[in-house]
Amino acid sequence: MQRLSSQGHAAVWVALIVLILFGVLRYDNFASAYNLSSFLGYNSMFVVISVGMCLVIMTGGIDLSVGTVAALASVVAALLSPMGLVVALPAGVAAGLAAGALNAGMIAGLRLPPFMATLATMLAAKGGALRLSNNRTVPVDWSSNFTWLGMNKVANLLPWTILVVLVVVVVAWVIIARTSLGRTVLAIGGNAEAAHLMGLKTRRAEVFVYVFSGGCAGLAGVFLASGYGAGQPLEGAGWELAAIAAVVVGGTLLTGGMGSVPATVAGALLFGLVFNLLNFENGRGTISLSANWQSVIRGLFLLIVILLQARLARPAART
Amino acid sequence: MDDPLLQMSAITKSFGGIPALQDAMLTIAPGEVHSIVGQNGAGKSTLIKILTGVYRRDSGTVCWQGRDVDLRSPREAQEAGIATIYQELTLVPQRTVIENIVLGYEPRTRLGLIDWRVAEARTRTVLDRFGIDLDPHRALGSYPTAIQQLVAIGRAASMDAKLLIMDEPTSSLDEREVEVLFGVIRQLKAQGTSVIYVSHLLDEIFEICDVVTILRDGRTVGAARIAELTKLDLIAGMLGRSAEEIRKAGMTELAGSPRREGGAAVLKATGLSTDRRLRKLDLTLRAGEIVGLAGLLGSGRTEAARAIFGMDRLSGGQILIDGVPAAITSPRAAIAAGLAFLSEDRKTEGIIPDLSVRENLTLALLPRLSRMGVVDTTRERTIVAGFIKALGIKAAHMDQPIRELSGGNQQKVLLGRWLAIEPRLLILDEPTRGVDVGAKREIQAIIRERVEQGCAVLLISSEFEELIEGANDIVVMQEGRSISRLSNPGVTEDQLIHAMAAGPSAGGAA
Amino acid sequence: MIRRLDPRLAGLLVALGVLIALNLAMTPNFLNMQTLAVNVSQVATIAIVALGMTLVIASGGIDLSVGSVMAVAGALAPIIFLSDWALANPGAGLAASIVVPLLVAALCGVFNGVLIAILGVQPIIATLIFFISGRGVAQVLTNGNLQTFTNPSFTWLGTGRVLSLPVQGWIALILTIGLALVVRRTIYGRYLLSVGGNERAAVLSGVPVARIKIATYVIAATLAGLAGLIVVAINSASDAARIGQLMELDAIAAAVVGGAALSGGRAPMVGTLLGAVFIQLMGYTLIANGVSDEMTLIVTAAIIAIAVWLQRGRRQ
Repeated sequence: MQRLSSQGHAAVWVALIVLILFGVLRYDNFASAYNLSSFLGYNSMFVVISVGMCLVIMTGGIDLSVGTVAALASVVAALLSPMGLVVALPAGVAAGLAAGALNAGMIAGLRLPPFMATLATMLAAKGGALRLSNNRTVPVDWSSNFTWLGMNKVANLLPWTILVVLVVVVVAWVIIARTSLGRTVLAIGGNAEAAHLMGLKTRRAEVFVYVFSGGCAGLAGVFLASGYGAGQPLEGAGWELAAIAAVVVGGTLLTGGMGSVPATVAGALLFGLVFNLLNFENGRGTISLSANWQSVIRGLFLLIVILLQARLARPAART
Repeated sequence: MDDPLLQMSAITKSFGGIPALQDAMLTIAPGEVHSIVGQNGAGKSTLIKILTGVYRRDSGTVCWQGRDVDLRSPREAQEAGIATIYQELTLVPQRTVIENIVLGYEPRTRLGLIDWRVAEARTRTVLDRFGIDLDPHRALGSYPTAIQQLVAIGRAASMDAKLLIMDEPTSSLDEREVEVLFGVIRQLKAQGTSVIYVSHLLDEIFEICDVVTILRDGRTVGAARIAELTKLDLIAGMLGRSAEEIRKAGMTELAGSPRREGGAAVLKATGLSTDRRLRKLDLTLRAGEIVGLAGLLGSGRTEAARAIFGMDRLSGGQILIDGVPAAITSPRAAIAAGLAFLSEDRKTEGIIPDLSVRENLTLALLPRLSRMGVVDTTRERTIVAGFIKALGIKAAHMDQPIRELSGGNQQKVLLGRWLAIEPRLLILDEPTRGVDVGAKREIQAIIRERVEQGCAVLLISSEFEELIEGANDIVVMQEGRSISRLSNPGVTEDQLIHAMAAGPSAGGAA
Repeated sequence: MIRRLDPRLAGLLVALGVLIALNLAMTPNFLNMQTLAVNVSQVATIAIVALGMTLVIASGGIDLSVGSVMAVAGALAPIIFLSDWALANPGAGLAASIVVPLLVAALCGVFNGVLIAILGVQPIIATLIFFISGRGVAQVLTNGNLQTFTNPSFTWLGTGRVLSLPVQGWIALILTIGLALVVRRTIYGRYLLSVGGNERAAVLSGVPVARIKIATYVIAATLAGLAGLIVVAINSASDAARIGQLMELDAIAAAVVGGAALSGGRAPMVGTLLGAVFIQLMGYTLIANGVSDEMTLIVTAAIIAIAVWLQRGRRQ
């Protein structure tokens, strides 16, 4: 089993490196500052959501609400943007945390199945976002410093958003690897009964992962508003499934009990990279892949990964 | 004795009105290896779970290190100094060996983060103590069950506990590993730690334990020093046997007409082995006869049944049906060949809880009950009505959801499922377990009836009367092997107990 | 057929009754034909997909691909009947434009079923593949264009009326009854419930589990294909980007409110239909009485959570 997991994780890094090399060698502007910064900036939202999803999946659960919660947070942040980043950023994240708390209450408290509970939150968040925004996109206040976060880069290269995400990734990584909270998260997914019998604080860990995932979605929403200048109540559809796909591609199993935060990040970046490369290829004119083909390719990609994982898992499986 | 480490008195516990413990007692001295024995349902597991905080007792006292305590969670028990190794693996297979050993008690650096280096060192100490050489960075689940078991034991032993509870710790260990385990237990004893050793393997109990407490039907019926007992005394205590009781106890309904001579063998198994604990099984089943499989818990009887019914892949040996080699690769194939299997665990392998009595009963019969995919419900109802009557199933009506029935009636429905397909060979795994006395006899009578009509039956039972009175032959199993065979008429309970307690060299060849 | 009324179904009927009564009292024009037709129209497509979803859930799985399958089927149909061959052979063309998309949808079901039943991939992940790529396939087929057309024989499927109620409403009703009969009376139905109810027991009893699961995903996909055709017929337009958006969630919600248990083993077909009606009616009641779209979403979310919670309470 260890073989599978480290192979699964290693594979995503290898694939990422291979694709990067491919891009560097084949396309002129691939390695440019512009491409790098816009790629990282765009994908920072998906990466942070995927990290939250990774933790939830490690416990054997799932969070379908991250997309609409991000939309909700983007609206909240945009509405509060006149008060500047110092208010709007925490507010957006708080909206996410609140949604996460709602999930945690239903799942850890009422013992509702995560699928249905987060489905309900997903709808409620969408409703909330539409309500707060009065059904339209909410433009941010450009005169405040709110958009500074989404639109600025360090040394014209690394967007600030990706640096924030990096902090989140490191925090999540340390929690999982070096705290008993993190070990409990993994234990729950592996054998929830055993975790309880061993005296681990399982309820606390369950609450943590859903609140954390909500917070990540909130952060993504703030990035959305700050980077694109508007809070968008209808954005976010399908984000949760993209996050799940990133987690799976990164080698974390949906059954829980194992996983890697860095590999999930690689998985999210990998999906984004496939898109990026296709755009370049389009630009060369060798193929004319419309945007439509992109989702087909993503689906194919996921299929290949799944088949590979199924084959790798075969020897270890027993009736 | 001086102050006991643990004293549990007058413990009672019921689940949903059904008593699991009625008057259980346990007294353990420091530095003592104490065994708890009893048959299935005697209450061992419940008593232990009360001690370890998983359950709360209904009444009685638990006195730990001289003080009355009420342990309300596994964590409290652990903090009090009681460590447990459960029978079902309670570690996390997806995590590495190191993680499992320190889970919940990870060593910390000054910053408060987990110090994996110290954790690894601690792990190596534990592994060295057990003489295990492996890579602790690999997932626990990638090692065989025996190693996983040793790791579980190592974890518990490393937790500075005053009392270590081991539930069937050697079930997947080989002889060398068992010796290592015993060495560790002796070490623990020398340093004043007590061990509760729950096992059905009497040889081990006699080798390593000092004291034994016997549980039967939820009560403590005796406690004695091992040195003062024989194996027979022990078994007799577990089963509640004495000469008078045997004479007084009601006979079963399984007694039948004299043995048929020379019936053709319906199924013959030679040298069967599987990856799942079955080492070598030889068995012949003839039409109109019952072959009983006897043995203590863990001897491999259910594994034998699973192998014959196609549930586990054979790693060796052969099955002949009507003299012709048969490859039974799945239950579906087994059913097509005329076999039927009533599992011992009706909850996980028997009933479909939301479906009705009728639907559960006819599940295996459906292909024969349908024409062009549509079920002939009229015929179905007639058949089910017939079985309800014949088996005495007490249900409001045949469309009642099966989960609302009592255990005994559920069992009858499941038996009906298999009788309905009119099998040539009926494999029954503990068919009367968890069933009240009246229903027990009804089920036994039905089995006898089928046998008289020509069905072959393989009967796995922990109830001696069923085997002694009903079976034409009894095959005794031990550690996955068929070790001896007793033939009726003339088998006595004493003989059977001897055969079960003895090693493979005693008794007749299978 | 219904020997004893399942308390869950009874509860739902009561809730529906209350809703209808409320509407009769408060909503103007509730009883007029137009309102009814609009409501039926919207419910029907969701209900048809939800029926298939209920079967999948009953088997212990889930199907996220239904929306995309709708899009694919909906994209194929106009392509076929607008082709030269079909224009030359209108009768055969019409038939093909219905049959072929359904066959393709069924193939999608085979894909899902094989991944899940034979390769052992988890249903949520296996059906995720089509969720991600199916719509893209549909868009590729149509070149991302909105296809509009006029083809009265085809659009009858979406806009026709029988006894002054929309055709698709009748289709949904017939499918509900038909599938309810299948679940109760056929060997497939029994096997399906046993696989979801206790898969180990089913295997032991000789149930061909893999075959049953594959068949179930095929049925669900075919029904989704049918729903796609209907949507296209209603709009006389095929918009691959929008057909079936979020349909999987609507379908799951209808199934769960109707009494399906996510753990499997229950396939309340009539319940699903009522569940879809209930959710639709709840939404309509709120909107017709001035409650905003957003609140409707929140209320729906609350209903789903309550329905799931009630289910758990009963199962314990």
